[in-house]
Amino acid sequence: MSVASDAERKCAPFLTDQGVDTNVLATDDIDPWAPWYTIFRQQWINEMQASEHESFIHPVACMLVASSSEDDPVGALRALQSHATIKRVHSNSFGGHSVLLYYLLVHDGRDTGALQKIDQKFDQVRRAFGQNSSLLKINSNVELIEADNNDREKVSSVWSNNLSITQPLAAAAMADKVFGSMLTMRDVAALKDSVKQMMVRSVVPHMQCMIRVLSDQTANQRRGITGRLFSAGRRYFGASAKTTSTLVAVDGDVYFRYDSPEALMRKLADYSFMLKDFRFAQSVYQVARRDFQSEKAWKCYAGAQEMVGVCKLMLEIHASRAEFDSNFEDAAAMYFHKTQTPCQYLALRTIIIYYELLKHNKLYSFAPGALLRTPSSMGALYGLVSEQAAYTYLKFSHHPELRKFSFYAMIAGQAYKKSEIGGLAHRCFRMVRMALYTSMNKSSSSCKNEDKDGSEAHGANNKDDTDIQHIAASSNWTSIDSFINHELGLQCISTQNYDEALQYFMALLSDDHIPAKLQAKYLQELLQLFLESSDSVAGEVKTATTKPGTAMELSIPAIDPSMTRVIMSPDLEGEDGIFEWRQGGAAPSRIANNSLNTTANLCCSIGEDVAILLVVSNPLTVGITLNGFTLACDFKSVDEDLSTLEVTSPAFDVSSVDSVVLEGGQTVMVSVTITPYCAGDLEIIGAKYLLCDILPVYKPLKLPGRRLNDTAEQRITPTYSPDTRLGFRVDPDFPRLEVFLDDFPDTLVSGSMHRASVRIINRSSHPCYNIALWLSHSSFFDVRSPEKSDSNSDVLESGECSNTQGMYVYSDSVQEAEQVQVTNVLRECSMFVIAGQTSSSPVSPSLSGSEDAARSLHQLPKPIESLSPKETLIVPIWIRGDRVGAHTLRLATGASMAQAATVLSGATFCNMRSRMFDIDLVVTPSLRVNAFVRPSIRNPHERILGIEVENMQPALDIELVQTTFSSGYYKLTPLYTPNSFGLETSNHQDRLRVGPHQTINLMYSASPYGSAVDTKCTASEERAPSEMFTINALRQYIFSNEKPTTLPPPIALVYSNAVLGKRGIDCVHSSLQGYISRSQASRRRNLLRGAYPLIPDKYLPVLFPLYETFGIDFVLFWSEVGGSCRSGHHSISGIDLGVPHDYIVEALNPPSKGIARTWLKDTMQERETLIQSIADRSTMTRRQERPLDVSIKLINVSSSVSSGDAPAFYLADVDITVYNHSWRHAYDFALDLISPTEISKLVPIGVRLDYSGSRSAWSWCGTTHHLMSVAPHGSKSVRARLACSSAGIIDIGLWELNVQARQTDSQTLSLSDISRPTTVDSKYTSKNIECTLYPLQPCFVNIAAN
Amino acid sequence: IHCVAILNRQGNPLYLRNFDKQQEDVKFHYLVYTSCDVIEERLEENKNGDLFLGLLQTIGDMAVYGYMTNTGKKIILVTSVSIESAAIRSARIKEICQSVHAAYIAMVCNPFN
Repeated sequence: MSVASDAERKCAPFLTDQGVDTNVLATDDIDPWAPWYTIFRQQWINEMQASEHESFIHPVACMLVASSSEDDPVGALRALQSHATIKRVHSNSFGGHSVLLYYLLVHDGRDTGALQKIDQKFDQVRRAFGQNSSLLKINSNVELIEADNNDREKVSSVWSNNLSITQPLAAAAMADKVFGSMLTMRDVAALKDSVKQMMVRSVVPHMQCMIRVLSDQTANQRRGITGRLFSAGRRYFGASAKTTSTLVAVDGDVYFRYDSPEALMRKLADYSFMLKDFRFAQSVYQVARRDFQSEKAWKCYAGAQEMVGVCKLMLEIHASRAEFDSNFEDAAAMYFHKTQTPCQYLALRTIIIYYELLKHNKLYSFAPGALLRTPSSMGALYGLVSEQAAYTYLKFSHHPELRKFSFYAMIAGQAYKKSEIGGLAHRCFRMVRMALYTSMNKSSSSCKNEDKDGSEAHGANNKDDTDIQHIAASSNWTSIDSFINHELGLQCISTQNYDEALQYFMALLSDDHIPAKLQAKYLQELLQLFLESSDSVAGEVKTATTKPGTAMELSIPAIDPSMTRVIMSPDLEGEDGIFEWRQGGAAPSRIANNSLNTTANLCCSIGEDVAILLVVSNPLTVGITLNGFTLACDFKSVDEDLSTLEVTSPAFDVSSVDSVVLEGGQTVMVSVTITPYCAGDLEIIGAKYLLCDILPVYKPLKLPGRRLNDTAEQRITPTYSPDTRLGFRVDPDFPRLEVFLDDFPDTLVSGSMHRASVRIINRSSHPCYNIALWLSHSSFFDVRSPEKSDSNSDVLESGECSNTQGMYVYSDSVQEAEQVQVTNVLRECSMFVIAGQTSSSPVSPSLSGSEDAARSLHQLPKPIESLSPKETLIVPIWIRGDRVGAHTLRLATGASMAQAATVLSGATFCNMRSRMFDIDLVVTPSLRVNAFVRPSIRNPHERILGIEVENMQPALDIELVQTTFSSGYYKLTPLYTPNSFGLETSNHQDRLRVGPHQTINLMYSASPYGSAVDTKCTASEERAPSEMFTINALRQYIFSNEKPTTLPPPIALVYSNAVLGKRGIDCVHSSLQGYISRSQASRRRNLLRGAYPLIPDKYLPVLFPLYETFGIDFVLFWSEVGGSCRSGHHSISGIDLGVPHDYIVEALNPPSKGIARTWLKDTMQERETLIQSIADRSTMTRRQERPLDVSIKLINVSSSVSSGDAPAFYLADVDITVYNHSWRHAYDFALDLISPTEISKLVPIGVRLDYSGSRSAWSWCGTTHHLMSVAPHGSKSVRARLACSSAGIIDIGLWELNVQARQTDSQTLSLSDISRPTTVDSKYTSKNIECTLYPLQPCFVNIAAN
Repeated sequence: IHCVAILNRQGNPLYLRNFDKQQEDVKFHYLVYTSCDVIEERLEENKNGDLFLGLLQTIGDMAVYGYMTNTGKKIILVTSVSIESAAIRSARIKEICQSVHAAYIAMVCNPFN
C-alpha cells in the first residue's frame, strides 16, 4: 500500500475549500479519488483463481517448447507431452480432454551454423504434430545487444511497463531488475508475432471448434422442445445419468463433472463469451442457469446468473435495472448465502465486476446498491467498497448526494478504523467533515444570501490553513459533527499527530449541544491527550511543533474581548477616565473613542494599579477550572533608551488569579491587576491560564477597531483600524488622585442640611495644580473652601462636627428689614475650582478684574494653589435635600497636572483625568410650604401673602425658627407677630411648633419698601432695573447681530426677616446667602431653560438677571424639636403677587433702529420662530392680571331727611382710589360707576352673578364717569357719592374700568411708532395695554345713621 | 419505531428523539441526515402533492419513512423492517406521521413555549 500513503494526506479533488466542485464531479472518473481501489482491483483480477463451476481461468491450450539445439525436438516434445504435469492439465476434472496442445520450437540466433538444420527440425515437428506448431527465432547474441544500448532499455521497459500495469506492487518490488537483457527489439517483435500466430492460428480456431462441437452436443438439443423434453425425461427417468454427472464436493457444494452436459453447456457459454458472442452466450447461460437451479447447484447457478448479468450489460447499455440488477443481486446472494462455505471471494468478484461494468456504462445509480451487498464483516474490504459507494453517490446524474456520500464515507472510515488502516480512516473522516461543512454551506447560501458574505470572509481568512477551517466549520447536525470530530481526534492521536488532534478536540468542546456526559468524556480525553503529547515530546527531540511550554489556543472558556474593561485604581469608588470639561456647567463627558485613534485613550500613572475585568464564560455543560489566570501584555516604552537599559526590572507587574471555577454555562468576571513601573504604552494581548491545572492555554484578545471606510479598497474588503480599547498608556505626568467621599448620607429629610466632605489625596509624585469639582444638582450642594489636612485623623474630627453648626449663623441682631446690594448675575455654579490659579470668572473673561469681588459676593469657595504629593485636601460640602424623592447625584472631580490653568481660566473645554461618582440620595418630605396671594382690601397697593406650612413627618415636631423674604420692591411684615398676641408663654411655643400632619398658616402683608415708594422716580429703568435690563438685552439678542455681553447690574434686595424663635439666623451676611443665591440661580436656570428652549445656555446670564424686582423669595428656617438638632430651611422663590410684569413681550417688538439687516430667509425664519416661542411662553404662563386695582373707602355717611322721622335716604361719600400696579406703563382709564339698577350691564359678562341683597335700594349719584390717568405705581382718587334708601350693609363694588396704557411713556414703546407698520408691531403687545376691568370681590360698606 | 425526527426546510434538525435504548443517537442522526438526499430526490420525481413520501430507504434493518409538510418541514420516522405487507405498513406509518405533524403544529402555535 505504498502508493496509498501519499494520497492519504490529500483529499479527493472535488472537495475544495470552497465547497463541492460540481464540474469536477461531473467530469472526473472515480478511480483517481481512491487510487488504492484501482490497485486492489488490478491485483484482485491478477490473482483470481480458477473455480470448477466455470471455465474462465481454465486452461484452453498448453504450450510445449523445445529448443532448436535439441537433436531430436520431436522426441523432446513427446517426452514433455507425456510428462505428468501436462497429463494432469490435460485430463483434470474440469479441463476435460479439450485442452489444445501447442508445440513451439525456439531457435537461438547464436547457433548460427544450424539454420538448415532448424528448418529440417521444424519440418519434423510439423510433420509430427500438425498445424499446432510454430518456430520462434530469437537472438541471444550479447554483442548485438550491447551494440545498441537504447534498444536494451526499450526491451526492458516492455516488461516493466506491463508489470506496472498488471501487477503494480510486484513491479515496485522489482524495480531494479532488468528484464530481457539478452533480447533486442526484433526478438520482442518476434515473440509478439509468435503469440499472435498462436492465438489466431490455433487457439481461437480451437475454441470455435469447441463451441461448434459443444453446441451440437448439448445446447442445440436442449434448446429445442425436444431438448427440454429430453432434459425432463432425463431428470425423471435417467437417475443413473444424474448420479454420474453431479458430484458433491468436499465442502458440500453441488457441482458437475466436466463431461456432464451442464458443465459442457457452461463451457460452451464461457467460450462464446470469451469470443465476444455475448448474445449466444447469454442464451446458453440462461439455459444452463435453469438446469443448475433445478439441480440445486447454487454455486453454479450463481455463476450463471452473474454471467447472464454481465452479458446483458455488455449487450444492452440501456437495459432497465430489473433485468441485470436482479441477476447480480441473485448471484451475490447465492454466493454469500446458499453455498455451503460462503464463497465471499466469488461474491466480491461479482460485485466488483458489476461495479466496474456499471462505471463503464455510467449507470451510477445502481452502483451503491451493488457495492453495499458486501457484508460488513469483510473489514478493510468493506471500507474500500463503502468508500467507492460513497463516491458513486457523488456521481449521481441529477445532483450529487453529498449527505449520503458523507454517510458512506463515514462507514468506510469506521471500517478502516476497525481494520486499523488509520490513514485511510482519517482521510475518510476528513472528507466527511468537509462534505458536512459544504452541504451546510450550500443550504444556507441558497436560502440566505446575506450569509454569503460572512462565509466568504471566513473562507478568505482561513485559506492558508485548511485544517483550521475544518474545525471552525460546523453544520447544524451537531451530533454528527461531534462524532466525526471525535473520530478524527482519536485518529490523530493514534498517528501521534497531536496538533491536529488538539484542534479536533477543541472543536468538540466548543460544541454546546453535546450531552454533559459526552462532554466530560471529551474533556477528559483532551487532557489525557495533552499529557500524552507532552510526554512524548519530552521524550523526543524538539521536532514536533507542539511544545509543552508554549500554551495553545483553546476555545474554552469563552472570553469576550469586547466586554473587557480596563479600570484605573480599582480600589476606589467611582468612574475613572479622562473627561472633557466644558464651560457652562455641562456635565464632564467621557471622551469618545474615535476622537483619539492613534494613542491609547486610557492613561494611568506609574505605580498605579490597573484592574482588567474580563468576562469569562463557560460554554460547556460541565464545570472546568482555570488555574493561574493571568494576562499577557505588550509593553512599549516611550523612551527607547530606557527600554533597552532596563531589561532586568520588569516594566510592569501582572497579578494572577489562582483558580477560577466555572460551572457549566456559568459566566464569571475575572479581575486581573496590572501595576506598571515605568512610562510607556501597555497593551493587553491575551490571557493565559491552565485549564484544569494541566493544559496551558493562551487566548489572544483581539478586537477589531472601527471599520475603515475611507478608501474604495477599504470599502470593498472589510478592514479595521487597530483597536486601542485594550491598551493604556503609562504616563508619569498623569495625575493620580485618590478621591473619597466622606460622610455622604443616604437619606435626608427634605430641606435639612448635612455636612459631608470630599477627601482628595495626591498619590503621584508631582504636585497637582488644577482640581475642579462638578456637581450635577448644584442646588443640593454647598461647597465651602477646601482646606489641607495632614493626617487622616483630622478628617475624622472635622467629619464629626455637629451637623448644622457651620451652616446657620445665629445672631441676635437680625433686623426686620434691611436693604442690601447684591449681584444680580445669573451664574452657572455647578463647577467649583478647588485647586489652581483661577484668574477669571467662568462666565465672562472680560470681568476678570472683579473676580474677587464676585467671589465674595457669591460666597464661592476659595481655592488653594496646588496640592503637593501625599497631601490631603478636604472639601467640605453641605448637602441639602432640595427636592423630595430619590435622586442620583453625580459628583465629578477632575485634575490635571498642567500648571497653566485650562478650563478654569476660561477655555471652553479641556481634558482632565476625572472621577465620576454617583451618589444615591433619598429625600423624605418634611415640610410642605405653599404660598398664596390675595389682594388687600385695605390698601390697593398692598397684597396679603399667606404661607401654609404643613408638616409631612409622621412623628416629628418641627419648630419654625425664622422666615425671611427677599424682594427688590416689597417689604413683608407679619400680620400677626408673637408680640401682637401679647402671649409670650406656652401659646407662643405652640404656634411655632408644627406637630405631625399639622398645618399652620403665616400671614404677611406685602407693601412696597419705603424707599421704593418714596422716591418718585419716573424712569422705569430706575424703578425696575433688572426688568429693563432683560428687555434691552433680549431685544438686542433677537434683533441685533451683536449678542449682548453686559451682565445685569446689581440689585438692591430688601430682606425682611421675621424671627419666630429665640434667635435669628443671619442669612444676609453669612455664607448662607451664597448658598441660597446659588440654589436660586440653579433653579432659575432650569426654569428659564424650560421656558425658552431656543435660547442657548451661554446667553442666559446676559439676558436674564438672577432676581426679578417684583418677585419675592421666601425662606423658612426650621429645626427639629427633640433630640436631634437637625435643622434646615425651605424656600420658595419668585412668588408672584399678581402684578403685571409680562414685560418680556415688549422685547419682541423690533426697535426703531439697529435691526440687523438679514437678507437670508432662514435667518429670518429662525428669528421668527424664536420670537414666536418666547411670545407663546410668556402669554401662556401668565395668569390673569390686573394692571389697575380699585379700592373704595367710605368717607362719611349723611342722612337726608325729607319727611318724617325716618330718613328717606342716606347719602354716602366714598373715596375711590385707582392704583397702578404696573411699573412700566402709565394708564388712561375711564371709570364707570354702576348702580344696581344697571346691573344687567354686568350680568351678560358673567361677572358676579351672585350679587344679591338690597341692591335696588341704592344708587350712585352725581357723575359716574371719570376719565383720568395714573402714573406707574401711582394712584388716583375720586370722590363719589351714593344714595341709599335704607341703612344697612350694602355692596358697592360695582364699577367698570376701561384702561388704556399711556403711549408716551417710553420712546421705544411700539404702539406709538406708527412709522413702522410691520407685522411684528401689532402682534406682540402686552395685553395690559388695553383692557376692561370688573370688580373681583364685593365691597361692603355699612350705611348707618350716625 | 426507533426514532422520530423533524427537520426544517433547509434540512437542519429541529427535533430528534431516539426511542431505542440499544442504539446510539449518532446512528439515527446519520439515518435522518442521509434521508434528506432521498427526499430531495423524491421531490424531483413526484410532485403530486401527497405529503407522505413513503419508504425512503432501508439501511440494515432500519426502514426510513418520510413525510413533508407544505412548508417544507420534514418528518422522518425510523422503524425496524418487518414482514408486514408494505401497503398496510405505509398506511399506518402515514397515520403516525400525520399525528406527529398535528403535534408539531400544536407546539408551534402554542404561544407559551
